[in-house]
Amino acid sequence: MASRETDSVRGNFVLLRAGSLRLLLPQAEVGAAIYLEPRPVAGTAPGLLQSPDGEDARAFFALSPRMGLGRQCPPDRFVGAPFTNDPATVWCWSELRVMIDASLQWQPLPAILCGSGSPLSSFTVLDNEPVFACGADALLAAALTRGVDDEA
Amino acid sequence: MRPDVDLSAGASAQPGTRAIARLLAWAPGRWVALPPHTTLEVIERPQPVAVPGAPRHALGLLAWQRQWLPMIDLRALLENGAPASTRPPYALIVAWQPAPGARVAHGALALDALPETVSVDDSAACPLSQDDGIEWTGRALACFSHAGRPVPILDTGSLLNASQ
Repeated sequence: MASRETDSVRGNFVLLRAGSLRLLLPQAEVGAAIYLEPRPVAGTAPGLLQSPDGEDARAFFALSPRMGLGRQCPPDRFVGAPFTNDPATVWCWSELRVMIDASLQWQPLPAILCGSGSPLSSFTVLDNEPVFACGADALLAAALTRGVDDEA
Repeated sequence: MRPDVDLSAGASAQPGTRAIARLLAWAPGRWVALPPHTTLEVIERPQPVAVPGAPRHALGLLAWQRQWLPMIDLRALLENGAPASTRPPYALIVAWQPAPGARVAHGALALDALPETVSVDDSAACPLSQDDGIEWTGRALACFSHAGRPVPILDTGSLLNASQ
């Protein structure tokens, strides 16, 4: 798609997909990926997941497509990665794609689509679909603010 | 055919006497109107990409002619409620000019039914409704009476440029 009022940015990014939601974070904010085998299970608090066999002591979160926290780890989440600002928490994703030296055209989200407190303000287009720019801190804050998403 | 609806409205309007308007039903028995030059195309079965954290009336980004347009549910916006469906049957592509000399901007309105084209006489002008619970100030340019109901003429730019 062609862009209007675009901002060209070149750098290293990681595309993270949670169901239908696609996010693009700076690579420096995303830690090493792991395969989620077996998948995490519900933990001691709603939205908090844990390793089923206790071998991985880290906490797990599964982001919903609405940027809330899932009560369960959806079946399509097979790859996990922590954010570098919180290595003790692993986020569960449907897809993780590292993009090195990528040149991206960011477009601002139309104001009418920007909710108060939303961490999303711009997007780019990859594979003919929008991908939203987000930072790890903002994503965490938004997910914790939204809390458990029962429609996840 | 309703006697107040002129379906031969493809003919050019006579300035000062009659004008063409697109009627959009945003709720049962409730309409808004748009100037025809602001309405570009109807998309069947639109598939907007949801934007997390967006206001409830925002259905997401809709692909149209190499652009991604904001798509909103008009009823949800006007009534400050939730959309009846995230998959409406139609989307109307609309255009506006944000400022003199600025590039034309586009957006999409979710519709449950196809727009009607009507011919409106100057004598149908009426005040904006004050008792329907909708804040029309800043959203409507004028109003006319149709089928016994006031029909605000939307200011497309004000509607779709608004931030929340």
